[in-house]
Amino acid sequence: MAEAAARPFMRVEGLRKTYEVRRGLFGRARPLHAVAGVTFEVQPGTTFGLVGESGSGKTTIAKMLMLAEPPSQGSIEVAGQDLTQLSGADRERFHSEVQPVLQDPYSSLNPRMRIGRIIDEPLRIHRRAERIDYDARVRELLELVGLPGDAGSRFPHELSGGQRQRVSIARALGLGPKCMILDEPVSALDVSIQAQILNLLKDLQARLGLTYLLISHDLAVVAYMSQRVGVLYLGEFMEIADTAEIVGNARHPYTQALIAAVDARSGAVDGATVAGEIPSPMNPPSGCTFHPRCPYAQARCRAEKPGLREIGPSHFVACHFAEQVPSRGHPHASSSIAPAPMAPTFPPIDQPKENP
Amino acid sequence: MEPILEARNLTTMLRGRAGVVTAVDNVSLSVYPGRTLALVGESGSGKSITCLSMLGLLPSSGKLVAGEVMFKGRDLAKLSQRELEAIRGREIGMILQDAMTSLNPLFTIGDQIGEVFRYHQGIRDRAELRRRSIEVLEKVKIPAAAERLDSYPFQFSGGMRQRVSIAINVALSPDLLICDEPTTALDVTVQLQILRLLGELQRQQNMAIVFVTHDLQMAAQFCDDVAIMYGGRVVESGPIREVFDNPVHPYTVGLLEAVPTLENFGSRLVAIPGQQPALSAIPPGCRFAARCASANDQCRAQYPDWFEWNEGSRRVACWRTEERVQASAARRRAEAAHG
Repeated sequence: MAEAAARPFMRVEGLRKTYEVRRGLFGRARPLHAVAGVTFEVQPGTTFGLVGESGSGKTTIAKMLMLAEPPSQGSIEVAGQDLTQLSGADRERFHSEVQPVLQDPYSSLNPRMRIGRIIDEPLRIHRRAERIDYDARVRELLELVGLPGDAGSRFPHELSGGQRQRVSIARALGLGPKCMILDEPVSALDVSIQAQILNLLKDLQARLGLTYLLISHDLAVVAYMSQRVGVLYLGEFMEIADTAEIVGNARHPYTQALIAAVDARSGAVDGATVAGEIPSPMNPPSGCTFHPRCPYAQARCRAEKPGLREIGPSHFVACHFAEQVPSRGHPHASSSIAPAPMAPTFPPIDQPKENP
Repeated sequence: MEPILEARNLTTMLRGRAGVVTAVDNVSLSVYPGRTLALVGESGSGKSITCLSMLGLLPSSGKLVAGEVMFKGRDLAKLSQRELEAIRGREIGMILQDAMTSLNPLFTIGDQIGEVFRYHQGIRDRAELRRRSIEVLEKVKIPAAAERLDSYPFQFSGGMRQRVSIAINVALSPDLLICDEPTTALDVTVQLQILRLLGELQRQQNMAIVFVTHDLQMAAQFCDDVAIMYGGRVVESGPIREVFDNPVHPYTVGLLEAVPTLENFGSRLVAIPGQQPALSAIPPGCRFAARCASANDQCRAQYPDWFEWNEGSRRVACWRTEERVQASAARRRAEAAHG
């Protein structure tokens, strides 16, 4: 494992996606930078969490990683292969190695198909088993995700949301993938069910050695699942670091705002918060794209775009004033409720480091 | 302190494809002036139907079959729709999850805010309507309010639309505001802004708020009291800090352990096994018994009585309350002795 870990499973470099958007019938096409140059690596057997609000480009990145959208610029390398150079047969093989699990298990399962058929469809397409073996494989997959082996004869509407999400996971596992792209896998589920699915995904990862790219707007979910976290805003990384570093020592004001929003003890409701809403990517702000909402913005932030720079061991921040920004996620908290002490409870994180 | 709204033993039936089901079963709630009550539960737990029942806004398939809703000395359950219409929007406001669906896309923001004053106060003078509308838009911190008055809902972002919806509902300074998942459709940084706005308006007007949510972290940040709903029943209620620091009902305990937070991200979540029972297949005993590790025959056979302590401010519907309270007190003593 040590030698394998030296080589990242997934390497994304300078990835960009630009859509041409036309206003009205005769309007001029203008570029929309959905993903404006992101670079990251995912080590095999680990989870990389992409966190961001709507419009941050996280789903566009997922689409490019699944070959559903060609990148406008940049390169994606998965298991040593450049995705932009894949031939037809290689593409097919790639799809069996990287599988998606999507947000809404209500719309991602065909309501007219039985569960067994939904799960064995990828096997049929990739001609992975003799006809006779499908039933046994479906049963095995159902049990792997904690469903009764005979659930294959049922229809999606007979299952609850959590059960349906288990079916989508079983379908994704059918071809024996090395990697799963998890796009908001629990945000459509009830709170008491979310933990079941998150734990299932963790167990499967440990058991099958899977690599995950997890996309979520919920920093707590990302922190629970990931070894490394990238914070996206308007198609760019604001901060990338190991999970413990992001949660305990976030340096970007945007990351801190995300932390304050999910931290019940932050008292952030009574403190100052980030102003406004995410601007349109059609017309991104000058300089640092976060400056119009940033409580610390200065003249330099409006004029000069900060690049990602390493301010600690494998901790990258795109902020001119990362060192001056107060630590912890809620600098303005005026509440008397002190944040819980966090550092001593961190589990040791011995994942290999990467160099975006 | 007297509650501004007190619902007693509400029971609501819904007619659906699975026949007639009891969506809200014997629910009692108290809401106090200047305080926020969190109504926490998963989808299908009956939290939204409880609110609609109190306001007489149930769909035609639903009926409030028992209980009373005391609001300022009157029982809302006994009032006619016409009488309720005079109260809703003036004395009680209601904010829904997605402002896009609660605002009319064909009318300007100004028209929709002005309607409140036209309907409830009979103001017809256009200049006066405009002046008052600008005033409430400023109250909810919409910049350049005068110019935005002639905009349509689609020209606003999600957060701004929710502000408009709040403006409409607080325009006449209601005593009670019912918010049904008001921030669920919004981005996290915007959620905070809306919560802060609601908090400020509450302090200015000493308004009571019922805050329906599935988000425990948000409830803990924003609310004073909590009622936890499960399968159409309230299973535990009390001041939110006390309930969350010292939960007694196994469902409350389970929920708090099942949610990832930034404090516990390094330790494994404890998932609640199984799922909520369908309303058409409600078990005779405690609704949570099938998922509860400490359930016994009594739990499965008979719905638990209320156990109350702290002068009734803490209530739990669980047969095992006494032993659970003692066990948790012993645990805290042990923790205190150790550190």
